[in-house]
Amino acid sequence: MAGKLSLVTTTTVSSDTAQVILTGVDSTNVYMLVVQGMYMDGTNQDIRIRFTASGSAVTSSDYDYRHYTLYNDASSGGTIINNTGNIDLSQGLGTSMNNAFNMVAYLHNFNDSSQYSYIIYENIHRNTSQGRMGSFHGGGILQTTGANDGVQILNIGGANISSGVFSLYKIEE
Amino acid sequence: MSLKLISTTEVTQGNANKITINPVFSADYKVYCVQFQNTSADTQRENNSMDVRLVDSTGTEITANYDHRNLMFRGYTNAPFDLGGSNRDEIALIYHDKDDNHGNGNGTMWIYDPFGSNYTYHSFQETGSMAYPSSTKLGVHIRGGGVHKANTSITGISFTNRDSYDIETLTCRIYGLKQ
Repeated sequence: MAGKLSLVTTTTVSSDTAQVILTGVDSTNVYMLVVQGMYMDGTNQDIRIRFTASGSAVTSSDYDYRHYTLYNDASSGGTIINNTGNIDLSQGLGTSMNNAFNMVAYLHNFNDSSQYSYIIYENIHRNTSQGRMGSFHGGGILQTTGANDGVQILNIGGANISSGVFSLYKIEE
Repeated sequence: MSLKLISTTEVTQGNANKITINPVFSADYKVYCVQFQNTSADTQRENNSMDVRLVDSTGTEITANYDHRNLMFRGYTNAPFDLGGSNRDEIALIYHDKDDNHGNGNGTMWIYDPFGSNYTYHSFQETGSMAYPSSTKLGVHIRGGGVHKANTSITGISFTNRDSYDIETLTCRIYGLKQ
């Protein structure tokens, strides 16, 4: 990966916004998504991700995901969710940079219209209400064929994203 | 390209218990990729490991206010177990062993906004070879993350082997990620 990573697009959020959409996946390469310093305008709001097709989020209940949830003050556990409308990436999040969400994720097969699209993620975050560190490690699938060109990041409970830098990279061959 | 190599540290036949890389984090980047490989200690023991800590802008190694949690797949049982917890004196643990016993640690840390004066976060993965119990060799995989809970500007990182054993080998490359 070193030295062969190309920035496709980046979005910096500095005021409340309902969602972030990053597009630009246009090859069969693996892409890397990095989120840094994201927090919300309300406590206990999970951050979720969907994949986009032609720039619009795919909202059908065709997402499966599995991950381990790690907390500093509780036992770790596995989560398996099938046939849902998005991938839940976190516990309820925080509302300041000291309670922010950060993530590296890899996007596979997005531009292959004959295959499902896949994401592998590892994140680290902290919530405001409990001061609890969380780290989710896992992956998800959109089980419909068709090309996907990016991701949508949002909260489905009505909270806004107040801050964060969202970057999409292409891993060059 | 978006990843820029900032620092390379290579230790061979080392004779120090602690390796400190500082200064390396700055206002130039907010996301860093720390890749470590071929870590080993000069003395064999079960559960041999290195503490990873952060270094503040005065050059002082920080030994408090870390929360971290990792899943440790040690190969001794099928189920992973939880490593770390609250208010630790290290932000991560790298397991390895003596080089002559094929002990070896390799992995990647992503570190978020260390230089800013907010909490510093990281996610972590390691695969290596360690010993447990006694000198019985085992593969190990660890993954998780952590946070330094203080409004401190961080400029460096340190690796300290347990039991005052020397670090025999270590290669560490640190990259800045353009956002």
